[in-house]
Amino acid sequence: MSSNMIMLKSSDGASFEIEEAAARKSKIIANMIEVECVDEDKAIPLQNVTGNILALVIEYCNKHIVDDDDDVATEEASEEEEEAKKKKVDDWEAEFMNSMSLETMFELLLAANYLNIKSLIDLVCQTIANNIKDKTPEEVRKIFSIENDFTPEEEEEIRKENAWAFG
Amino acid sequence: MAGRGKWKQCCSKGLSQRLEKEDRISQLPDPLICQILSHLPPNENVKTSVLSSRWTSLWLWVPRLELAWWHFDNFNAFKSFGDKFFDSNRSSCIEKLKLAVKENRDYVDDDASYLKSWIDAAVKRKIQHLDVWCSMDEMMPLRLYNCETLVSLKLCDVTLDDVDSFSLPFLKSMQLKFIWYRKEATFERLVSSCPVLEKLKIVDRCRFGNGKVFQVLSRSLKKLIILIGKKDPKLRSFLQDSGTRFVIDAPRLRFLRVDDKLSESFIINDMDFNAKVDISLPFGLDVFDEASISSRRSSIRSFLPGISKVEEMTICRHTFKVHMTNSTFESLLYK
Repeated sequence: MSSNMIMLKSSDGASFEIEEAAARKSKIIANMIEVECVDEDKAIPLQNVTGNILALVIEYCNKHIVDDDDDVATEEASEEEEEAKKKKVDDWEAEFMNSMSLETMFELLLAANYLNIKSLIDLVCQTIANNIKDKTPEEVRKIFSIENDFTPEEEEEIRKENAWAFG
Repeated sequence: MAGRGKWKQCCSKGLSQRLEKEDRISQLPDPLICQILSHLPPNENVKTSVLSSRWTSLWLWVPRLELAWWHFDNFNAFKSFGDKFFDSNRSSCIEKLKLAVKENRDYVDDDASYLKSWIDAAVKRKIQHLDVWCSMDEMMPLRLYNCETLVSLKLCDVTLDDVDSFSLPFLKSMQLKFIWYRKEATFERLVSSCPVLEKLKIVDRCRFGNGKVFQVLSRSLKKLIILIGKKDPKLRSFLQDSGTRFVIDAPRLRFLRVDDKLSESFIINDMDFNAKVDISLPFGLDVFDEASISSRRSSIRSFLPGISKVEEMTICRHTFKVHMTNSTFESLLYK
């Protein structure tokens, strides 16, 4: 496996060194590497990602390089081994997202979307969804500062349409 | 609309404080909101339609959905949700779908044609991961057999029709549980029409309309798991009489786990030399006395060459006993 290092530069000018294998978790960067857009001496500028968010993205990518390498091992792993491995990743991810503010989550989600890192998009979406689950619409509005622009009649109409869900 | 404006005005003062915090979630692009919603069960999903006008119909566009009867109070709610979601005019991709359908005795028009039309819609909308859990042997729609986008498929308690051609060019992982195959050849054809299939799991009894042989013919298969218990006494007698057999021909197979209480014969014609195997196979026997074991002598003899060269082997007590009594195991060990 190549352990080439590449440089990433955040919108606020911070530079980060990252293993190529980790950076390839981003489809955008992987494509840039494929078409040889990456100059070894120059950092890749990421216009839409600030340094503090990029640091989180890199932490995530570094942690997940191993998973891809394990493809061969997985073929021979028993289901128990696969489950144990999955649990280890899940625990790390829970810790990673734990205590992250909603504000940071949205930044991280947009960064993951911009860089096209599917598994990170999933992880953040799951965590945001956990904040919606088992809450009333009123509570969800409050958590996310969503302005209710319906009249009470309009809202009633929508509730009626899918009455089963509002129980 | 005038009414709404007025209402907004009188509320705006109260809201202004709360809105000091920005509504970041509603500012996200639609696909990202839908991604968030796809992590919610359908009832929670629908509830978001009332948050604000931005959210009214986003729930209909989620790329992943777990649609299970237990999320709904009654069958009509379940069906009307599904019919709305799988509306034929919507064309957004459905990446992942988990469908759990229960037989509905109260529903007069219970031909379950809705299930076919939902799966049809999912195939049209480029489904990649499909998991169907039925409780009524429902026949899968033909369109599913030629799905160009499917990567993983899990089927439970469904019927697979006998068709001339399957085409699942991207299917990598398949799990088959309680499947009714119209013909013996259906299983073989299904497995061998998946050119990139790597993982196959067969759980519990799969039944054939007629015929007895499971032929696993695959040039791509790397992992095969067969778990067949004998929990259902009624089913068992039916199957024991049928004396099913397995024939494995998978040159790239590197992991094989067999825990099969029923099959009387298991022949491995080809698998990778470095394979890891974990075998619990009493050849359909309950009693391990000499007479019963001798009755399986030829099955055991044709089974052994298949595993004689593997790299790592775990073998269960009963299977071991069968081999010891048959005194073929020793010769295998010292080979």
